[in-house]
Amino acid sequence: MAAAAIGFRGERPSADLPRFQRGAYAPEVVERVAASWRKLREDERRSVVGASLVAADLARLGAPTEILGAAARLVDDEIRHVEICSRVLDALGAPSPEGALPDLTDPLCGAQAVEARCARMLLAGFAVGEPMSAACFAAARRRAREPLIHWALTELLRDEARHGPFGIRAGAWVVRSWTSEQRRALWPECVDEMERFERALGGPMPASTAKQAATSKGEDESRRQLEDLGLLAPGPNCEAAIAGITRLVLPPLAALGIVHGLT
Amino acid sequence: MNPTNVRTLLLSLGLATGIASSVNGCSSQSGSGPPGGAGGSQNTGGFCGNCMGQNLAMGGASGHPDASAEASTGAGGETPPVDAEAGGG
Repeated sequence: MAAAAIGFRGERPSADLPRFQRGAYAPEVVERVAASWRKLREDERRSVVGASLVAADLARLGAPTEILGAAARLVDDEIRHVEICSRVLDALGAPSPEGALPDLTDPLCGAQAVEARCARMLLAGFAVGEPMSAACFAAARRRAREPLIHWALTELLRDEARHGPFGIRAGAWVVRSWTSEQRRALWPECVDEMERFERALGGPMPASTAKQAATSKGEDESRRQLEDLGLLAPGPNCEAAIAGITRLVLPPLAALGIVHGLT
Repeated sequence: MNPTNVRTLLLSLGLATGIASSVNGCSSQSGSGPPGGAGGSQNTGGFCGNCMGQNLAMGGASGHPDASAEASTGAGGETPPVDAEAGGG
């Protein structure tokens, strides 16, 4: 479907993308970057499914229209992210068709009572994963020198920064009558989500990374080009995600009584 | 030193409840991995796999063998563009 035919409620990607400076990068570097964007696009399509499920669950639970509207905006954002990824792939010269997604296997989406599932997806899912995503997008954007990638990361980051607070706000409504024990029972699932995300980044990183292996000049140049294109190694990606947990994830979870003893 | 992984972060903050099973299983190698092993998890199901040294060594074309299943919850965050071939941190 042509991008112009999609009726987005929220912000649409700007029509004019920065021109990709293909000649500045080695072909194998561009292919690695394209592969990462294909993978991100698949993630974003999964998020369309997850956000739609949350929106439907909130409607079934009788959530206020203000929360339902925010949930609808979330779905809209995720669809827009799929489009952004496709436009980056086109600009990279690596267009690729999208296929059907495999079945969702995430435990957060598992069949159970609607209220419990919704609370898990909002508070152990969105409130944890989205801020970690935002922290990584921000770290990549700081290092990206290629205008096309900087544009795309800016578009994604603008929304991601809003999605974590949505998870907290909507989740707070869902668990408004829960006991402290019920709330604290969500904490292990929050940790599972943190660890899943960390593994997806190539972590967990060892406790000390002070001793770095020597790299060749060619490897250094390849690494520099990848960073110019916003593709970070597992180390800096995990570092950003960990910082995001400290700054963006734990304080609101503590305020909701999901985690106790935060010092 | 700043924590470099989720486990050490939560332990340093006294929030170990959620990772109790991992702590019990891997207490002798808390937070450790293979030297320089930043090549991506083998997805052995948690920290225990890492403690057993199953991460690939630095410099290899390691990636994340099961990234498609791991990368996104469908409910939480999207994994940012990740270099599946990156070996070093």
